[in-house]
Amino acid sequence: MSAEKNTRLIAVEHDSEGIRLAALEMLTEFLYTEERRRTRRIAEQSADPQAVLAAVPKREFACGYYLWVTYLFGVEARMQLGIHTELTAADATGLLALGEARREFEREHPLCRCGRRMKNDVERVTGMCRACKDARDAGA
Amino acid sequence: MEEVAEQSAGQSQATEQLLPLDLPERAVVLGKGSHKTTHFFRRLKAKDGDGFASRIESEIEQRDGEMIRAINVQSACLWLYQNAVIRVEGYRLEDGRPIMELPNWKERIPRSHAIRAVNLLTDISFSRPEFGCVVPCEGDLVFIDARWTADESGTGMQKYAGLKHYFASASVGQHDRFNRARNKVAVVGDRRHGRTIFPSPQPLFVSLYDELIQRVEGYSVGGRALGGRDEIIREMDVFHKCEAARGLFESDIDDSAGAEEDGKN
Repeated sequence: MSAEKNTRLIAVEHDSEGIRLAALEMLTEFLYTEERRRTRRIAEQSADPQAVLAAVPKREFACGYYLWVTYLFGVEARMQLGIHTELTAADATGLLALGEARREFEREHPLCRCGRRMKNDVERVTGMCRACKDARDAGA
Repeated sequence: MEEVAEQSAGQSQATEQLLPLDLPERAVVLGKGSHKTTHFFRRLKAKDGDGFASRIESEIEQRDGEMIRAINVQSACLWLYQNAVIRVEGYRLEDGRPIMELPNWKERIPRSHAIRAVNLLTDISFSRPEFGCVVPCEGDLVFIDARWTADESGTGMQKYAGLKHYFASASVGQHDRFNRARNKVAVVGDRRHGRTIFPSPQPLFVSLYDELIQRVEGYSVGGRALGGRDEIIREMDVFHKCEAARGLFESDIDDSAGAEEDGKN
């Protein structure tokens, strides 16, 4: 059974569910860019950088999914800029999955009144990001 | 055309010579002295390029969070050798007979020799001219350096440098096709733990080459310089097409590395 599983060939551009999940993961990663940058800086100064970096969440899918999603982000950006782009059926499938991932991401991480995205349930329940809450608490 | 010769390792000098695309056979020399062997290949065709490219295994696997990229060209080299070699010199059997008396002589050539011979046969690299602030009036130019065949003395393979390929400027649509093909991958296994396989871009490169090539310098067919788009498309070596097109599209990406220096004094 495992041998059969290991030889299955997935054409990434046709796997809309995989594209959606990888895109959602990448969008969430963008949200934590500053934290990851900070962790890398700490790792550079650490005696055991590997141990520090091990705490960074690993990507969940085969890297081919991220390559294709990155390509789709590029196509999407060009279209938003009004640059004429000829789409293939695979592009269209991917862009639909990307749109779905983006809507899911926006539901999970709504905008705070300051324009930042809320990162977690606590922020979502309080209706504001941590920075705004800290500012409000300091003012009170 | 500027000709450069490599003198090391038995390379012979080439001076103001055109690369003869229509040689009926090309010779590759390995080793020297009593260990010298010569491998003769028939002229390579488009399907040889396709077959070679389709056998190159290029993949990325994630293990313990590490990305491991592996490219295996051995199968491709052995396939091309079996398909394109027509005779060899310098090998003999233990009983003194020439190896070619065996019906399966191709299979008896040491694998490492076959791989080295094909590596030399397909030893091609591209470069782009450094224009600095002066740019060509139109189109793009890619230089190709390549070995072609051992000279008549059989002392080594001469290197042709600065073979020129002039292209029309690629359209946005052609860049889109290139970008799409570079990122179009397959995953073997499952979504989470699978290996990412990169299909060969060679068919795309050949197709883009045929669409964009305008003229070349440094090549000959029938003893005269190769000229005219139709003739170039028909006669150009498939590996040269592929490398020139790769140079045309990929060097734009490599150039972005220089952006780090932008704005610095």
